Amino acid sequence: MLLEVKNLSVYYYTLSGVVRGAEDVSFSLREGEWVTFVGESGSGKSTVAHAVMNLVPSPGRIVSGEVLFNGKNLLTLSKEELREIRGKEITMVFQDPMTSLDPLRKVGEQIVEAMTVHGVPEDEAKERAKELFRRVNLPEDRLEYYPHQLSGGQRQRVSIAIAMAFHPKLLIADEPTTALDVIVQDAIMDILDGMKEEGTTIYFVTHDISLAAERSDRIAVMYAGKLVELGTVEQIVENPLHPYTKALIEAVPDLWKEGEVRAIPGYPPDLRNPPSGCRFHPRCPFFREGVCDAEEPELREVEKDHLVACHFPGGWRE
Amino acid sequence: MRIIDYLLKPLRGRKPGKGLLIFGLVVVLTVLAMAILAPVISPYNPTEIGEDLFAPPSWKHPMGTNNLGQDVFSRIIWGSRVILYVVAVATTLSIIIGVPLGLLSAYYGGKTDRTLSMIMDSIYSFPSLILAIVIAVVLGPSPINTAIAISFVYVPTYFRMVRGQTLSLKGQLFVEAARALGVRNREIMRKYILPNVLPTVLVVFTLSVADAILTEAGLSFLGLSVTPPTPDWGYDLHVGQPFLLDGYWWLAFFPGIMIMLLAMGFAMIGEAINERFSLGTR
Amino acid sequence: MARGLGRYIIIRALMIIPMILILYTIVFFFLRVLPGNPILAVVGTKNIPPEQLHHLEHLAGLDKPLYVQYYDYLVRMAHGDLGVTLASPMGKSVADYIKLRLPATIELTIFAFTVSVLLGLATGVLGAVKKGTKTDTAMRVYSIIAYTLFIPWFGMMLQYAFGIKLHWLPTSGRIDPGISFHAITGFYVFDAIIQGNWPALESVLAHLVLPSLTLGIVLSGAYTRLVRNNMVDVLSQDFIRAYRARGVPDRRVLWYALKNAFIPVVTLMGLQFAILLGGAVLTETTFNWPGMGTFIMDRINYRDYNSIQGAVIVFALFVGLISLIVDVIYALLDPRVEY
Repeated sequence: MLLEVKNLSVYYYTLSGVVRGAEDVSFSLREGEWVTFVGESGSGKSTVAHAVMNLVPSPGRIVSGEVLFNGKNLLTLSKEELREIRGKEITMVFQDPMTSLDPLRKVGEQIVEAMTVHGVPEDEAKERAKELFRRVNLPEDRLEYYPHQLSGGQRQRVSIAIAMAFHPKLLIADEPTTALDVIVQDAIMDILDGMKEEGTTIYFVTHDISLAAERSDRIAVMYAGKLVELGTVEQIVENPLHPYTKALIEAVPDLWKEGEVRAIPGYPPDLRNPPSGCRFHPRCPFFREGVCDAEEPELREVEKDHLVACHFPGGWRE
Repeated sequence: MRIIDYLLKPLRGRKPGKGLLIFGLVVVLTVLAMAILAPVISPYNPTEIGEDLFAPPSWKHPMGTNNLGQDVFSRIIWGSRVILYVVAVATTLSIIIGVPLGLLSAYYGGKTDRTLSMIMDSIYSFPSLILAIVIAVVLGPSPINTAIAISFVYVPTYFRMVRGQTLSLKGQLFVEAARALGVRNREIMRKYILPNVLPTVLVVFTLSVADAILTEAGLSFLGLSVTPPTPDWGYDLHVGQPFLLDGYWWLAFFPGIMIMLLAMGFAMIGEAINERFSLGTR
Repeated sequence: MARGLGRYIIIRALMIIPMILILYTIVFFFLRVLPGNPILAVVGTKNIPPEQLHHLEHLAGLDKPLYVQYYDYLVRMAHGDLGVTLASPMGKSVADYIKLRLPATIELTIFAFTVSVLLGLATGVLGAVKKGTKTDTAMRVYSIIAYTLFIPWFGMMLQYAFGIKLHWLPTSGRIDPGISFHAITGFYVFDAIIQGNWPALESVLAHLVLPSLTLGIVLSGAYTRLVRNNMVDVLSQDFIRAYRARGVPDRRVLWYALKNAFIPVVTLMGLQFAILLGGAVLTETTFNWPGMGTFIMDRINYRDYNSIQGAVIVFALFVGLISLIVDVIYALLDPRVEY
């Protein structure tokens, strides 16, 4: 197991109350696999991704849980040890290409620095930077450019180039293509695929389930701060067991079929005061009173490698 | 009355700016009360020359007496009138002139707007105290003249703020819609733009009152505001300075700290209101 | 890119001219148009033989119609001639006087400015890094107290504490009258250094402490708030987290954040400069500092409107120059600005 997350809870202490952004989340990632976390905004998918690197932005704080990377708990490491791992063994690509690069420095400087802080001598770093740019299909002269002189897609490629500098064991990509158009999106996904082939585990986050289905090995579904379903792509797409997952899949419009687009009724809950019991129960079409609103369902393995947190998983097939 | 309710809202609940607001209100209201009730609460006649010169603070004279035997405490109480009067008049004048000018200039645009803007910007970027000094000197020492001098210097502040707001409002859809419906310009300005501009004016007001107080104090410190024996904080501070060397600190200390407290009070209220309106994520 | 910068500077420099013209016009209006007969204001009584009155009026150029006066002065101003003093001593070149007094004000301003920026940065960064804690609130309170301090009063309190009670620092003037010192440029610190006059340097620096602190602390308040808010904004941006995700050490990340947060502060510096000059007048009066501020106040006592007019023009020029410099620095610091 490359990464084991156990009972991770992250709360945001805001002026209007404590927002329970992620509650008791547990999962594991193996080497060389591509796992995608899907969910609406506010589902906690980004929160958990950030928490893995202990980069939760204030006023958020990790209140409990462990993040074991190759056996070591990242949450209890010293600053120095964590610093060594970040950027080298675990790297991250952020959502908004407009704001994830320092606007005051040339991109070349930033990528070189990402290597020199880990002990690589400067000339070697400069050479590697050129190579990395080649791998992400960026012309070498862009190294001398400032971020604002590049397009969104190019900026994202720079971020990925930085992230692949040391052949990381784990790459966390937080909605890297959300701000880009579909064609660029594809190119980016190809690059990530390439990295996976070289052994990097891809931890992908998106709200778009069809994108998730495209390249992942496994899919994790998050709702209202909880992990509600986890399984292989085939299992999730062909046999979703959680009502929310099922609704997500059905909400994807099919280009070739006629019919209505089925949205999920209702709104995501206020995480300052989450619903009792199963957090999805107010919106669940299969809600059973007395059970779903009383007890929180645990994440259980229902079939091999397919886990669900529901009192009546797949209950509609009766 | 809804405005008051809206303003009082920060006082409820655990908001970070609450302490500031309360402190500010307490100070300002105290000084206001001082000014209004001066004839009633002042223990002595502030201009009456006494025999007890340089008496240190005591029960008889809580803030001591000055070089002319006048009771400092009484002078402080009466002095609040001058400073509040001048600042009130000055601010009112600035708003009456600056706000409509800004609105009209931005709304109608064109060469007039550009010229007026340039003039206002020039005045705004010049040290306000120095300009106020020049005007006050020419007009002569009296509270109303000081008020005029100060108001002149603050007109650009209101002008710029209102002009900026009007420019951005002018381009918004609801104004365009009104115009398409044939609403007359004057009505658009009055009903659509002005109400949206007022909150900003309020914020600018609270922030610049503290400044205006310090400017007034500066002018009177330099001897350009009132003539003796009128009690005035800035002037008394000036008079008290040489006596500091001899150890008679209370002549300068009390007027000075009153200036500072009053400015601080307004500044704190301003900060609290600013926070309330900006609804920042800080 | 360098040629673009040159053009940028020239365009900005040209914009100073209308500003000076506008201020000149305003001041001319107040000083020449309003008072009636400035000479009488100077002389005081009306019991003066008409020939003498006319002679004085001629000296001051007051016997010509207003628009001629306006234009004349403008032309002479362009040549660096700011007219002559109207009173005690009469007929001396205003420009010469200003040349003597200006360095004193500039020196004070530079030191006060440095104090204000350093203090503002320190308190602002502290507040941002400790956002939401008591330290943050303390910095906010500091900033409010600082900018509402009344300069003369604050200066006096410092004088009392450090000058009179503790006898640590001098409370007036620029240098100990007893020390032998030869001024060359008028910038005493500079002059003392290039002449190797160490006792003078010590005295000059000692005299600079209290006035610079007074003015500097008061002005730092505005910076504290802006720096803190900018830092908070910048620190919450993605690229900061991106830096951390790359393994860049915390200290360096903070430095990068500060550089980003600093840029809008540069603009504030330009605006603050005008306040600095206004505050300098009060500081100079409090500390008996022989600069432009006390010059203006002296001339006011004598109702010497010519000198006052000249001083205002010099201030305007100064303000314009500084905002030009600020603009250029801003353009140089921020790669996103196009020129």
